[in-house]
Amino acid sequence: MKHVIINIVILALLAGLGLSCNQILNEDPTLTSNKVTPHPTDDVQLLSSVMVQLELDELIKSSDVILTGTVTGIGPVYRGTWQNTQLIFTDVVVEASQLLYGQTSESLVIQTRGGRIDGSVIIAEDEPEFRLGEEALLFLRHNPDLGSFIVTGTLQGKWSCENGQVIGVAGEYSILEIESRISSVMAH
Amino acid sequence: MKRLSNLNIKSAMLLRTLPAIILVATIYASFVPVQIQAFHYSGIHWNTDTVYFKVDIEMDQALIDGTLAAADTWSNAGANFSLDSYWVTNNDVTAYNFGVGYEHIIAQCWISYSNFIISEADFIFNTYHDFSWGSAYDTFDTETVALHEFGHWLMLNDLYDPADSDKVMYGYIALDQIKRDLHQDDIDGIIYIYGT
Repeated sequence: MKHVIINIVILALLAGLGLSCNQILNEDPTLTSNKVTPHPTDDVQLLSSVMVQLELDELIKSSDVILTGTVTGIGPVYRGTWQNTQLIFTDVVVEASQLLYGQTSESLVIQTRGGRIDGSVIIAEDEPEFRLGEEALLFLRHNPDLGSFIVTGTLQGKWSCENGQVIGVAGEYSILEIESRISSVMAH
Repeated sequence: MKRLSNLNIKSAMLLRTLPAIILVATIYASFVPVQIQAFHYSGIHWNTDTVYFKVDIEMDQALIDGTLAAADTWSNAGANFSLDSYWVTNNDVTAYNFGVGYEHIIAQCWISYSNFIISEADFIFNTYHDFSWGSAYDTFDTETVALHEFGHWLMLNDLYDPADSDKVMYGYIALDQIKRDLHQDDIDGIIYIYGT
């Protein structure tokens, strides 16, 4: 009798695991993140890039706008085609809180490659993840064709930001140090 | 005697619950990608041991030569997997300029898959950059770049920890850098996925 109960408990746990996996897979990730968790049956296009490593000074030099801001909106869009595949991008809306370099409106749109629309999924591994409500330091390139921005160096150009400290692939600094570095780089 | 029979009862209970435990462990394992420090593999793979690819003959000869050499390196890694050049396939190696904002990308790989099985793979050299087959200054070595991109075709993922910089799957390549040999961890990766 005991082993029957144990088996029932294990199978109930299994059913619970299945339910939670189902919830994760059916969740609309565009509401909270630009990164997609594909369903096994989705048709997935996976993009992986090998990149030039950008040090902080190069990130600064390559950017049109540098700011800190908060992610306030995330949504996927079809934009163009490649080899008969409709390309999916996910637009991220950011409200700027501190403009460190360049010019932009208070609210701006950043285009990131990848996203999900219906059963079609594109995953760009080198794009940074943006989460709704998250604050970040952003190095941005202006995209004149779209009137929006893209992140400089993809995952290299988005840094986490907390209490005046920023952390990215090129190091950890205070906002004041970043401001000082921008002034120094742009003066040369 | 009593202790022995208690032991037998516990063993019997364990045996009876074993199928459910194995089932739970198997399902859990299928949702967790393999993330070993040595290499990173997401569980997606080809359903064949030979993948054919077609190089765009309009590309510079250095791009073609580097690509073919890189394919040979992976094919000779000791795994039950090979990359062969052939004319009739959808798996393309091409080159074009990625445009404004994507200058930091040296090459990009596209993998199409569903249900963990790859149906097509392509990779593209970004002609914004200058390439050579290891013979010119201020260029990217085509074989080094192609070796990394073919690693993606096998479904090995990028590594970004500086401690992994000697590995082919390290996500950054510098100008004039030559990395034409597989690191043992790259070899372990392909063997883990496709066997020997």
